[in-house]
Amino acid sequence: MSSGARNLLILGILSAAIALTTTGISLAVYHNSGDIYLDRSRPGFLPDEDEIESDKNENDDYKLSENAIITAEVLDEYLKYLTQEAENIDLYKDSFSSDGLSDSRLGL
Amino acid sequence: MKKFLANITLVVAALLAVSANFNTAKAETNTDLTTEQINSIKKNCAIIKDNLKSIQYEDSRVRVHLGRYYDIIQSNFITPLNVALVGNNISNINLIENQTNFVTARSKFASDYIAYQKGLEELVSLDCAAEPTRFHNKLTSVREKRAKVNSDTTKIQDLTNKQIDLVTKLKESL
Repeated sequence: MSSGARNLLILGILSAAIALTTTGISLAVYHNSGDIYLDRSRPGFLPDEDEIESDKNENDDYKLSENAIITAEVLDEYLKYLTQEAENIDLYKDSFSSDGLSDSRLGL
Repeated sequence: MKKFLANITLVVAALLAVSANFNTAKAETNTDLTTEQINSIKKNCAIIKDNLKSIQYEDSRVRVHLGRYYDIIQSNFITPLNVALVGNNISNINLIENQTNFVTARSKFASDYIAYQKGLEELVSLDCAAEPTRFHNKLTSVREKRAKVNSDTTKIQDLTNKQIDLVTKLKESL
């Protein structure tokens, strides 16, 4: 084997080792930080198609300007949209209730 | 000197072993499972695991939706209103306090949710057919973590409703 070929081989092995090490560190950080549990792009947790459709929310376009002149009319509009957001989260009110892990739900 | 170090090592190892046994014993006895319940867990292990996985999926879906709504409420409503009030020379300590509480509650929701999901993942990975008692103890711990997440969502819901009340009062005072 010529010295050029040997150097190329060493370079390849070193590159692979560095890539494996940095990937391993990244995965460890991803898992230990808990980001993995917030990520729905991982296999088995991808959203359904109909879920993506239902995600569209017309209220998302509203944002109170930080430079707004605060009047009763401005606050009226603010309250209208904020009430809708409150209703949105109210739909998930009991999502983490104890029923979710009850004996009957688990089949115990 | 060598003998002394060897003795110290032996004492430390013995203490660790006793501690490990004590913890294991504590974990194993911290339950009032009946034989019937143990048999039920063993028998239905596969079904229980499938149900846990579907709960994991459903929880992740709910968290994404709630997280998005919480982000919108904070970024599009609560924070900009307080900035705008400063620009309008209107002082409202209650709204500022509500913003602080909302940010804290969101942060607690995120950390409690991660702790709950970690516990749930560990629970799914346990072999309930081989270790039903350990499985049940872990399930109890995960249920407690889930209750914390539920309490966080209730708190955020209350803070959102409080924001509506405070802004309504502010509007009436203008």
